[in-house]
Amino acid sequence: MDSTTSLKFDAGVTCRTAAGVQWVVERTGLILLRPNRPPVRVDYPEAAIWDLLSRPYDFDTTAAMMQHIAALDETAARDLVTKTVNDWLEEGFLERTHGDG
Amino acid sequence: MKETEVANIFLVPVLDKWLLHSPLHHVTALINDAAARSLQEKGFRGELESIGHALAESAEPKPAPLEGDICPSFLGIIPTRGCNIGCVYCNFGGPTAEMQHMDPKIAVAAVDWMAKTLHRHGKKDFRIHFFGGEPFVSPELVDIVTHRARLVSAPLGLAPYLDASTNGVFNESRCRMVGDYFGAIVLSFDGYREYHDRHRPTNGGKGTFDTVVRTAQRLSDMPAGLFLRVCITQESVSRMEEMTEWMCQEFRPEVVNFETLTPGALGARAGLQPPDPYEFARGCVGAYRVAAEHGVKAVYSAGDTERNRLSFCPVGTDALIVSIDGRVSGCYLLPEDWQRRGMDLDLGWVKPNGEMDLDFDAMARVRHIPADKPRCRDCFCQWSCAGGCHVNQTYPNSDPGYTDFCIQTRIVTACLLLRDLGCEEMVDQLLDNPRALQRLGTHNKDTLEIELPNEAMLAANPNRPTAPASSGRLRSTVAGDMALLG
Repeated sequence: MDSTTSLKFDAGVTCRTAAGVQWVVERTGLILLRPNRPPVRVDYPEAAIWDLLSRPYDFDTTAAMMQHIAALDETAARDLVTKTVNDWLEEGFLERTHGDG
Repeated sequence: MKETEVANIFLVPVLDKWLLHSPLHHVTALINDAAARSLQEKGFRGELESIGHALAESAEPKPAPLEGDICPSFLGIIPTRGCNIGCVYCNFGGPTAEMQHMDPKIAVAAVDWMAKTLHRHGKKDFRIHFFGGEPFVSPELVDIVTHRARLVSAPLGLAPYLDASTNGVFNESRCRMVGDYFGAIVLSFDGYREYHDRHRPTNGGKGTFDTVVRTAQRLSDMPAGLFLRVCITQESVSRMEEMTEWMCQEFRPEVVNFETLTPGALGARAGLQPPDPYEFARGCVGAYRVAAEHGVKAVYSAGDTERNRLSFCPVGTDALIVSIDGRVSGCYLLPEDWQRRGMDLDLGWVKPNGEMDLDFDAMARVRHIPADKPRCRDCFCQWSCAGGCHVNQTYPNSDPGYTDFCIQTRIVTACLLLRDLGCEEMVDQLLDNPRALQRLGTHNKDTLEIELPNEAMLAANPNRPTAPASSGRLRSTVAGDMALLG
């Protein structure tokens, strides 16, 4: 996922990786990297969400796939994806693009 | 004399000499005609005594069917039999197979069962191989399996290793995913454009060469190992060496793997034929040489002299291969292929509720299939080639005589053993001598029925040579024109 990749997060809301954010896939998860900030480790199941959104699968597909990956029901999977993306928005790994793609 | 001693020492004609080969002792020697006659008449006497001593040392156990609890060698997943291209020789129903995809519940249940089983056996590696059709036309299923395997492996201390057999017709995003998460990719790539496009067109008849070249280039820059699998036909066999040179220069493969076209109705309709076995063997040995110059490993899967094995393929190794409907089998071919040979390679089912239901009697039966190969009984390649495909080569009641597959395998294997002995010039002489090749390829009884020195004899000779380590590569000249590799 480079800084130009858009993530269709929910109806009418699109986000993308914030400028300068990169990541490295590790054996048990992944590591998010930002300039001049310490690396942040992302474990499973959240690591799968990052990867799926970067493919890029849309929100509904990602949530549906997370049901199987994390053994969750539909509501729990959607909640997990929503919460995780919100956390990444808050932490500055993602930024909103207000549906402009 | 014990049966195992008879069955595991072989004498193979090579030009005017004989290759004495004992795969289980890791001993190979080249002896002259007089020595071979003396050996058969008098046993390991005189100059041959040191070979006899090496052979009397303890050998690696004869490969035998697995026993006891099930600990699968790997999990195979067939996400779909559908495919996005229309190979003219496809034996998997690709061009006509329905684009049905595996229910993720089945895949997840298989992954979970496998992880728990491997953990219970104290294993560390969790290998998953995707077969097809073309597995990447089910991208969601592949991604679910990939992440589920990683998620369940982490707390169990398992290291997932994913690989796939693919046609390489996918986009850059999929290449990146493979680079990030896969250990290796087996990319079907039939060489120059004229062969690849003829063999592997799109369903609309357009060539796929440019796309596959692009994929191979992208994968060359990624950490996943790139295995180029080249299907050789009568049309392409004469250009194996130059194609190997080109592939090694153009890409960064870890392995270039040559296999001959498996005869089938589709291939025949397209006018394709398997190569002449002698030409293939020549091309293969040449390709090995070219690849080695580039630091690349060339492979012909039946000519693997590096290890002894009972089975050529997943059958009999407890590999579990899960099809789109949840069927669990020991083989990735279409069930109708093995059923046509009167074989049953099914092992059980992944039930709709996610339970793995294995039939242990079926497992036991399939474990023993590779052990019954009448055609291989007297062949020196029996523990390296292991009889080839159980369904297409050494199926029940198949003709006990050698096939073209046997001939090419025998020649390639003998050349590799000669090369290990440092007899490179002899390999060239052999490949240039059609009569010697035919004699080697069709020699129908390699087993040497001879008594080995026993423990008492060994003890009586305080100057006996030290036995070579099984993993070692000791080479010494035993007599004027003998070389011993242990």
